Amino acid sequence: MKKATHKLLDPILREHKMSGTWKADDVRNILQELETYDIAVARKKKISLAVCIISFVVAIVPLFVGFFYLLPLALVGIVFIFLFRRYRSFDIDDQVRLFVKPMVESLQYDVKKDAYISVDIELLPLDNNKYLTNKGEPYAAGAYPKCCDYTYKRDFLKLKIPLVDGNKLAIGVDELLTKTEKTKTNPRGKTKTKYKYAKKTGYSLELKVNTERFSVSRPAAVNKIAEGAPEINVAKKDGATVVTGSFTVKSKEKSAGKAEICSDPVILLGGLTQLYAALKPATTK
Amino acid sequence: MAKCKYKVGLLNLQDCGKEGVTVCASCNRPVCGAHSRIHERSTLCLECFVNKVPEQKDKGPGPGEDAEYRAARRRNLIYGATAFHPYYFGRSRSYGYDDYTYFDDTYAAAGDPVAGKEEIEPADFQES
Repeated sequence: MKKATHKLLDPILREHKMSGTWKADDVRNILQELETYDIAVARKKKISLAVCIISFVVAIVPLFVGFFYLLPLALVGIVFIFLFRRYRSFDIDDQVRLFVKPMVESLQYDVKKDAYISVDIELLPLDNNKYLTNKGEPYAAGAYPKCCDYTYKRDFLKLKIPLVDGNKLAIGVDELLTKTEKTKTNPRGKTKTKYKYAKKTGYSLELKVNTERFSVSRPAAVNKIAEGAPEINVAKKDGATVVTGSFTVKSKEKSAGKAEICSDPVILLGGLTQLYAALKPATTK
Repeated sequence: MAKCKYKVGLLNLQDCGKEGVTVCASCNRPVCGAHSRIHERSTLCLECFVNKVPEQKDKGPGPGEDAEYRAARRRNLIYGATAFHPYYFGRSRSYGYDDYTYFDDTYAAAGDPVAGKEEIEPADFQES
């Protein structure tokens, strides 16, 4: 890791938030380092979990039966339990490397050279308690006598990018996650818990048009907006022409532990190109 | 060799501008090392490569690891899905006169101001 990037990365990891203004190259470097860091942490987390499980089976359980010579191995297992908990606290939302980084990568040649980008990214996973806004009342549903809904909400991403053609682009992504926890006890007395995740991602795009280069043609009214297709509006804001587009994408995940239902960069970039489709060269007014 | 004619960008296309090192076997444009890929013993520009070669998994070494390749793959997907035509802010959209002269036999005559220009005389025309 470069020393300069390392300096930038330290406060970001401490606050679990990437917030500030950087040059485009620095943003790409930071995202690259965050990806490397996230992959390394995920690998260490996996290894420590494996060691925990193995030591639990091989040492901790036989220890209770009387095999005291396995005590050192059991201690190693306990140390790795703490390590696993520690690595889990370093975890970065997968969306940073699967959504934000590819998006910035795709826009790298469209960003004005040496311009500063305003970035605001939440790094913690969405189902972190920091974003918990509501815990519903327990209820019963079918075979599950105890169910509960948790609602998480946050503004995941805010980007302000000056583009090479003179336009100014603002991207916003907000997320709403509903986690349903269903618990039942089977006839053998075992408690089983299932999770369901439903995520609603709202994308908002704003393009401040450089009127010296582009004119805006109001898009034809669309009766029904398909998922992933932005509803485009043209307005005047502080004397400037602004094209805005917003759309929401809903996704569901059944498996436990997969709260990070990642946004697709192609959907957002596709929406952005549709905003651009409303522009025409200024000379052909 | 001419400059790389691969167009970079998503919303606005620009010339790559780096020194070209090879020529795409499919579209014949000169491309630099970063924007060329070898496929079945022939060199293709990244755009032709993405169009011809099906998506490869992003695991292991190869184009899947490459940021330029991934960006080209995404751009291909987005342009295909949205039928978007970006604006081009480069030097020229098509090949210029200089590009055609590379293929002329007289190109080798360095310093000749009329090298590559085809001279047509009235005797060349025949009655049909």
